[in-house]
Amino acid sequence: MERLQRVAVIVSLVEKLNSKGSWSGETHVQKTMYFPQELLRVPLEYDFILYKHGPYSFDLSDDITAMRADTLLKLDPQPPYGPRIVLGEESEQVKRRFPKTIAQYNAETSFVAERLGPMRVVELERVATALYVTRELGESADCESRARRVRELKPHISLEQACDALRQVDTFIEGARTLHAAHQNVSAHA
Amino acid sequence: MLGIEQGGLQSAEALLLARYFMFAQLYFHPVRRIYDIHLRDYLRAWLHAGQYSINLTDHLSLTDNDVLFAIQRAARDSALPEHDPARRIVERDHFRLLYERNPIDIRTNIDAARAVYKAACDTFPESLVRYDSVVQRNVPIDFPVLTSDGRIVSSLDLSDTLNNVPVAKADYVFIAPEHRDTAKRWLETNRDTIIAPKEEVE
Repeated sequence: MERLQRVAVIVSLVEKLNSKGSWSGETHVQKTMYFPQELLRVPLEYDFILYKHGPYSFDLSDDITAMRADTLLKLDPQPPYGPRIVLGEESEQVKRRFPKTIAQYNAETSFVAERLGPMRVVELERVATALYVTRELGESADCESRARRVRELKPHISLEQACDALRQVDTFIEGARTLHAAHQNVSAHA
Repeated sequence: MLGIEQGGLQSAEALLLARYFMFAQLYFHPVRRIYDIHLRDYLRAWLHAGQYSINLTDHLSLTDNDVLFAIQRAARDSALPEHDPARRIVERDHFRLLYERNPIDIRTNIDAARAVYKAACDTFPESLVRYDSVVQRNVPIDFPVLTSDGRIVSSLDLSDTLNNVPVAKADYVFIAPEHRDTAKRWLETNRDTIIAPKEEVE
């Protein structure tokens, strides 16, 4: 995927997160962008590593900073808390120029915004780490072994919280399969 | 930056503005950037397989002096494949700035510099054109501040200055000096067509 196409997907996702009432701080954008790539096969080509608050991509962080420089995104202070990321004035230019990319991944960005938009940072950290572990051990690994691995990586997450997050991820995986099957049906009839 | 007391807020603003100016005026200066590019071109042509050795002993045995000596030698020997970038470094015959990003063109096309680069490659020999894009990383403007009445709030809630610290970004197109004048005239004539945004293809 070309850089500006990735930018168009980010713009689309941030817009939907904002509309779903998400806080949309940088941590939110980082965690939610992990799902389209790793769960929904959107070819964003970011390298994610497990960092302080779960999966994190330095390349994505650089892209977000570059998007601020291009006024595609801007920070919106929310006293007494930290800033939200909202669309900047040039975001309209990207939406006008990349309607096909935005439409192509519309279902994926909506999927993520609806499910993750309302979550707080601590919840996002748990589910994103749960997805990371599920990708690492495989979807066939049982919940108990995955929960143990989550706790190894993030000891401050309780066993109960890890299991809850893994159950959510399993539900997301089911949803992703349905979405993928729907895409294939559309392609077959096109 | 972990956090500060409110009395230090103006000092933090001054530091972050100074950091922005360092990036905008020094680290991202076009001449500094083009020498980086010539050095990179040289190393790719000179090093085995275009990369530093991953053998620890070999890697540690390569010093700045070895590289500088090799650059001097390559600058004098036109038969070597790394001659051209070495000569440009030694003789200060670096590529010249043809185009740099500016807010007016960005409003038309946020990728204007890349569009100029692609068009320049179609018009002039591609090996004599270079594109460079760089953005300031890690701009820590949001940090906790302990206020005089004991609350902890975001720096962005207290400082209009921090809300407006720009992110330094540079996009450059460079061209070999022998083509500079022709290229400048070509760009002046065709700028609007070149940077006009293209429709998205499948």
